[in-house]
Amino acid sequence: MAKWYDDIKNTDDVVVSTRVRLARNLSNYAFPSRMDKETSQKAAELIKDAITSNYCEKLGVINVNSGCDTGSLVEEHVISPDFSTESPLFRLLVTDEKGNLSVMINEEDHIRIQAIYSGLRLEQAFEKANQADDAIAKGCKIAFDEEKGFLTSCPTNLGTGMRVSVMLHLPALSAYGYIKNTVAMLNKIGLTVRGIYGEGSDAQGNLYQLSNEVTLGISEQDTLEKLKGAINLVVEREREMRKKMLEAANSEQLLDTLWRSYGTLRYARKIDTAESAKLISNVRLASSCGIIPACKDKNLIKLLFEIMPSHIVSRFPEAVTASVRDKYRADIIRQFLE
Amino acid sequence: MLCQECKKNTATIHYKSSINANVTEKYLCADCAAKSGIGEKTKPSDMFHTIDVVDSFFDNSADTLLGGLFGEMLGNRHTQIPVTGVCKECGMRYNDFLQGGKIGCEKCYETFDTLLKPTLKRIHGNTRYCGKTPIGYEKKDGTLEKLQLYVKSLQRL
Ligand SMILES: [Zn+2]
Ligand SMILES: [Zn+2]
Repeated sequence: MAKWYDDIKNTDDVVVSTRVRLARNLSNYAFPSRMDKETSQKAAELIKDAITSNYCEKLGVINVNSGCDTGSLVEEHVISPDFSTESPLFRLLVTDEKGNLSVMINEEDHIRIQAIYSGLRLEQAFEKANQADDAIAKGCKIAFDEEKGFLTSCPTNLGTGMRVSVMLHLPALSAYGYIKNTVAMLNKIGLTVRGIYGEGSDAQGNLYQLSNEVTLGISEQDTLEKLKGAINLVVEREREMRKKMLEAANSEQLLDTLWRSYGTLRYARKIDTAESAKLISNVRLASSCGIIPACKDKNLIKLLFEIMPSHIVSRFPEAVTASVRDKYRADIIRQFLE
Repeated sequence: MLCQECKKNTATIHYKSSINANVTEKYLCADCAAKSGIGEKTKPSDMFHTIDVVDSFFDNSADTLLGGLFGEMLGNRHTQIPVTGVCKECGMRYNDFLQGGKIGCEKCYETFDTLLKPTLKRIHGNTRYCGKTPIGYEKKDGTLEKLQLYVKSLQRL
């Protein structure tokens, strides 16, 4: 099945993905936290009908309550982890074929529209989400106020209801300890940066999420512009540092680490999620710097998704224990890198 | 306070992260913070850390932010302002909001307008909405505002 991350290129060396999320609620319905099941079903049907009949592409509808397996969708960032857990509300998920567009109905807000793309594609992601927003508004009355904007369950989203998040791969800035400075600079202009942490959460990864904080008093277009400027700066700095890293006197040690990562991935027979994610990140860095030519045209982010537990289970249902999955994971990686 | 990691040095770094609404808080010394990749002391040899793209992609800064925000509101205002109002539309009390962090319905924003103002100001600053208007939304009649502006301009004369 085609996925939104199929076309991640290694030229997207720093920006891995772009996501735009819009939070909306229906007018005349209590928000999800104060809604009963019956009303939530009525609201969900209303929203689903509006989007499926007014949106320009064909969309699929999944009843999330029916106990279907949503683990892979969480791993692919198509839905939030919260949306895949048990809920007293009636919930629907509307998506397009690749998962570039997804609409979660009855999450924290009645409507959570999300558009996600590989690489840096702010306008495209916003356009996609905006079209879905218009399609829904053609069929439903939306909770809106001229002074406060879109009325949301959580006051942090009030206004545009828009959260733009860009996932950045920053191994060199992390290595040289520039992350703190970078974060401080971005915070000053109203942007948030969060590291993406491992399960043990004591190790910081080299993947970071940059997003806008403020949603009131700034237009959608200005938010995108502001992010674009900031991203360009960070990307430039990261590339500079990568160059510096390779030119450094001790770059032999770095090369050794990178090639060893590749070697392990190529020949391991059992490997867990954390280790493989770490090594894939190294190989991705290497490949973007022209080291390890064999990986030049490999979509390593796609591999990163395919080694996640739910993905392995959906391909190999017999992989019920972590130990068995470790074996399948090593197989998947070896095949991918061949 | 001692560092929670080595339990020897004094903790100088307060580190907080929220992953899928699980808030992790740590008090670390500079060395341990650097070891776990937090802070500035990270060396190139420490660069290869575990990543897990999925679990925290959806993590919400809002959760952490609000925890602090409403917590403070709870501490500072809760005891000073008698909060008795109930939203006629959905039955939410202001205390429900302070505890759960979620608004009950669109009318709540009118009902608790004054109470919410400081919170909104702290999150977004002292501003007015300037984004898109939803399709099909009928603008409120601006006559009153125009009249007020007119009166003001007369007063200035
Ligand atoms: Zn310590
Ligand atoms: Zn209400």
